[in-house]
Amino acid sequence: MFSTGSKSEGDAPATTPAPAGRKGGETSVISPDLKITGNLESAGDIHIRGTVEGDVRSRSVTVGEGAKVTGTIIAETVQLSGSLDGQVEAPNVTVARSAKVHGDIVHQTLSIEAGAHIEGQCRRLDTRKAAPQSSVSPLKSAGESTAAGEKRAVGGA
Amino acid sequence: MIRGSRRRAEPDRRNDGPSAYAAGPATVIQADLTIAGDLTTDGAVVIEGTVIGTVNGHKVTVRECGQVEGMILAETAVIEGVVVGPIQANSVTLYTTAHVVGNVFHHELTVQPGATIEGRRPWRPHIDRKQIPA
Repeated sequence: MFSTGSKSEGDAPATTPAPAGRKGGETSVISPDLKITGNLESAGDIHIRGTVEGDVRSRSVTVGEGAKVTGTIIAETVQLSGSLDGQVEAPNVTVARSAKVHGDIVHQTLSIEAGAHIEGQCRRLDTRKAAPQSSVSPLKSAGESTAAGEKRAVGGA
Repeated sequence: MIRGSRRRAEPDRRNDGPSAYAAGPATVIQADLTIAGDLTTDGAVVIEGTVIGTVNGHKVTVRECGQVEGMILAETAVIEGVVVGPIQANSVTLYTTAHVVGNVFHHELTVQPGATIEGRRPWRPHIDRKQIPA
């Protein structure tokens, strides 16, 4: 019959949940024949060789040659060798010559190999600049709307 | 039966699908990965993380730390972890640590002592995963 005892020790590391801050954790692999329709979220590394229709959020994302991603990639390190239809947001972005990117690349360090196909803007990821801009614009519009409201109130009186 | 052959407690670890699928490493969803969506493949999938959605593959393995909240459609399903949803596979193996909340449609079913099934276990003459609407 089956050995009913506890599982072999080889399984033990896999059963313990992955600590968030571990180094060089294992990589999740999406093989070439796999298609995912939905979002991926990981604290570790993802190597995409298949097709993903959805957003990918991870520490490190590799889009391999022949892979196809339709969606936004948000990570610390992104290595693109395949095709991407969507935005990339990562401090470190590397675009290989086999890559085809349709979308913006928001980065701090960007490396593009000669031959890479990019259609989109390459912007620098600047947290200091981005934050006030986003907070100022709604305030401004709010101020305008109240001013307009006052005007209307005055006109009515 | 398996008596005497002393089947290894730890099932096959990685790329164990038919050699036709051995072109690359099997898909591995690691423990820290959560997929909210559907997976479709003609090869093998090993789930150690979490999938919220349908998993459709030739061989689907859910490891002890893995969790699937959705339907599993496979030729072969090997379950060591938690599945909340129906399983439809020709060959289903539930290991000691398996916990299934849902019906297990099967042609061949192997259940290790300790595995729990909250659901029915209907037998089917044949299950074609490609003809089951996800």
